[in-house]
Amino acid sequence: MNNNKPEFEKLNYILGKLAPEKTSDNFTNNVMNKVLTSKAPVADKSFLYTIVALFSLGIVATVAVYIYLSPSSIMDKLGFVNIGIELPELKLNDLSGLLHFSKIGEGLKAIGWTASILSLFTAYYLYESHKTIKDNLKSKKS
Amino acid sequence: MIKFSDIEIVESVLKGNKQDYSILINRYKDKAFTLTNRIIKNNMDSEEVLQDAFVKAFFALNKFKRNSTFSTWFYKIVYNSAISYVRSKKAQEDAQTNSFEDYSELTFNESADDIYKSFNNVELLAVIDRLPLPNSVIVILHYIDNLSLGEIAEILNLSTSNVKVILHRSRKALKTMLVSQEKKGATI
Repeated sequence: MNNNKPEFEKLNYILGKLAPEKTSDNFTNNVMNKVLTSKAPVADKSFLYTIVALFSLGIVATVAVYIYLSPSSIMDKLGFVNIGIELPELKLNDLSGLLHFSKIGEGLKAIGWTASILSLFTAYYLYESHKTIKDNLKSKKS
Repeated sequence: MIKFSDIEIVESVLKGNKQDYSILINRYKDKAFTLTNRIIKNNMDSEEVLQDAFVKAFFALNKFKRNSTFSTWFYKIVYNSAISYVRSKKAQEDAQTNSFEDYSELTFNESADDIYKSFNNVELLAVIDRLPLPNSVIVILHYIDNLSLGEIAEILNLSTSNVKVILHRSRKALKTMLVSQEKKGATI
């Protein structure tokens, strides 16, 4: 092949001077319009994964809070037997403290469930918009 | 004016500066268009396919691994998009009509070295268009996009030696075609 080098010297010179063809004037604007009007962000997937991870975390946290704060109902359902503990020296103040703690738990539970449901809707919305954009791109191609 | 590297622009776009993508578009649109036009052989369709390739590349930017250059990664998307389009339109048959073998069989005229210097850009591209698909693409990627044989091999999924052989044959065929075309022009 080296013997052919001088043979192609002139051709290489000519081809080396080849200039690219020009696209239409509004080419860049057209592409940028397509890119900017699209709802999907560049890092849409990582964002979606974050939402899914948050949602899963919310579910796990809610279930954990629920189990922790409702030992009687959950344990009953799971077949555990409640053991009555006698607290002969328990004063009224101690009982009010327990009731207060229980109220906080109920509040946490409600927040947990609300967050989970909101996360579920957000995740579903993001999934749908991502799917729509993908479909639009496919239909444009075809 | 500061010239940012492709990687710097990609990172900026990924950080949310979507407008910066226009720098990459302006940098590659004409060269990529010359490539798609060799495959599709129709200006409007080539532009449409190239626009879609740019959009596709934008949404896949987070998948771009830094182990290859942006141009190699991008041209791979452009090439595959153009090939898919041609296949879907069944235009491949037309492109294959001018078989490379026809040109490789022609004898090479050593004494006609100076004849084809009068060809302009459009005429040269028209001659390149007469090469079969892989050959014309390799010539464009090598001479217009200034890609190395290794980068071309990566884009086309070929071995470097294979690209080298095809490029050599393409040059040989081009020279023959340019000489014969010039002779035809001279006799008219």
